[in-house]
Amino acid sequence: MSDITARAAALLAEFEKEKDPEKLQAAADLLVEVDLSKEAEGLKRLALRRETLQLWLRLLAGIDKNLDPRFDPNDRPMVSVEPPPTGGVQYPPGVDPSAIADPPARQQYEAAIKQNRNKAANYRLQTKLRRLDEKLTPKVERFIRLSYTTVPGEQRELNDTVNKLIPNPQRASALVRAGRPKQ
Amino acid sequence: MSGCSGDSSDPNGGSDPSSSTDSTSTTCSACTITSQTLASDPADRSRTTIGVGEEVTLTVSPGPATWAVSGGGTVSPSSGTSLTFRAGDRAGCATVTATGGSGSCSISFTVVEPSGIKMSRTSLVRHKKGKPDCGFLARPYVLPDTVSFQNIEVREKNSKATATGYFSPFNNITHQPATQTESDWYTVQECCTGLGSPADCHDQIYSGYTNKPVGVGLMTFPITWEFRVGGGAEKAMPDFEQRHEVTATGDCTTSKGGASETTHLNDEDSGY
Repeated sequence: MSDITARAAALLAEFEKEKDPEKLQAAADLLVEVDLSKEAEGLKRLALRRETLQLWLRLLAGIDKNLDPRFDPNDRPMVSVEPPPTGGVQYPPGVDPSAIADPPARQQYEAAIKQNRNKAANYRLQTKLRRLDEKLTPKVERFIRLSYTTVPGEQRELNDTVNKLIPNPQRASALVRAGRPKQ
Repeated sequence: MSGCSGDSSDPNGGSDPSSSTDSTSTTCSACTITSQTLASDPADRSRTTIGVGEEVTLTVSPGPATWAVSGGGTVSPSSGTSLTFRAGDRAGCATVTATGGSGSCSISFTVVEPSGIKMSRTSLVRHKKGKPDCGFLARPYVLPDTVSFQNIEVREKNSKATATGYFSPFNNITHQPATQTESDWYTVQECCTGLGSPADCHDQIYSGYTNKPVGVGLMTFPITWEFRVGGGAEKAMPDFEQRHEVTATGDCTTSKGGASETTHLNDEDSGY
C-alpha cells in the first residue's frame, strides 16, 4: 500500500469506530491526491489504482451504511429542553434536573434531555453524511472515468470490485456506468 | 482585487497593478485564476470575501498547475486545472498560487469569522393566562450574511441566571443541565441573505414562571456561542444576553439575540 492509501485506510477504519464524518472528509482529501500517472512502474500503478478504487468504494459504502432513511432535515433538535411544570412552578428550558423536586417529573425531563441529545448527534451525522455524499460521489465517478479504460480486463476489475464493496444497487449501477464509454 | 491588502496577482511581481479590479479572477502575464463559491447565496459567487471553512472552486487558465496556499486553508487536490480551496478556521488573508508551465499567478481571499448570532422567531409567542411568562422558539443565524458559514458548527455555552424580584427563585439556575458545559454542536446551512447562515437547531427562549405573586422581576443569562471548522478548535463569538423582564402589572418581555416579544398577564393562552 502507498503512504497515501495506507493513511486513507486508517481514517476509514477510524470512521467506522467513531462515526466522525470528518474522518471521511480527511480520507477523501488524501485520495484525491492519488496521481496514477506519477507511478512509473506498470504493476505498481495497477495496484495503486485497485487500492484507490477499493478505498473510494469503502468510503461511499460507509456513507450508505450510516445514512438513516427516516431522517427528516426539518425536524431539528432543540438547544435545550423544557421541564414539566411542578408545584406551581414552570422552570425555563435547560434547567438542571435537580431543580425538579417531583421524581416522576424529573425522570420524564431527564429522558427528554437524553432523547434531544441523541437527536442532535444524529442530526449532525446525517447532515454531514449527506453533504459528503453529494460532494464525493462525483469525485469517485471521475476517478473511475479517468482511471479505467474499456479494455475487458479493466471493466471486469471495476465491476467485480463495485459488486463486492457496494451493497446499494443504485449506487453500484451508477459507479459501473461511470466506467463505461460515453454513447 | 478585493480583500487583503498587498495582494499581488503574480507572486514574482510580474502583474500590472493598473489592471487590478474587483473581479472573480486575477490576471497576469502567466495565467489567470477564476473563482466561484460553492454556496449560491450570497448571490455574488465571484466574491473574494468568504467565511471560515467556506469552499471555493478555482480554475486556472492555462492549466494544469501545482497549487499552494499561504495564510491558512487547504486546496484539494493540490495539482490540476480546477480544484477546491477550503478557507481556514480563523480570519485572515489567504493567497492561493497556481504554478504551471507558463508561470505563476495567484488569488487572495479575505476570510472572516462569525461576528455573532441573530435569533429569528419561528413560532407563536408562548404565554399562560394569569402568569407573567413569555417566550418563543427561534432559529439562530450566524452573522454576517455576506458570506456562507455552511462548513462551521456552532454551540451555546452553559451559564447561570441572575434573577431578582418575581424571578428570584430562579437565581443561579443553569441554562443547561449542570453536567453540561455547553450544548451539542449544530451544523449550519448555507447563508440566507438578510439573515445569516442558519444553525440546525431551535432555541426555546422562555421565561417560565415562579410561585411568587406577580411583581417586578428580572432574569438574565449571559450567552456565549462558539464556532469551529471541521472538528477543529472552538472559538467564542461576542457575548450577548438572554433577558426576561416582568413589570408590576405582569407584562413580560423576553429577548435574545435581537428577537423580542412581550405578553400581558391576561392575554389568552398561546404556545409554540
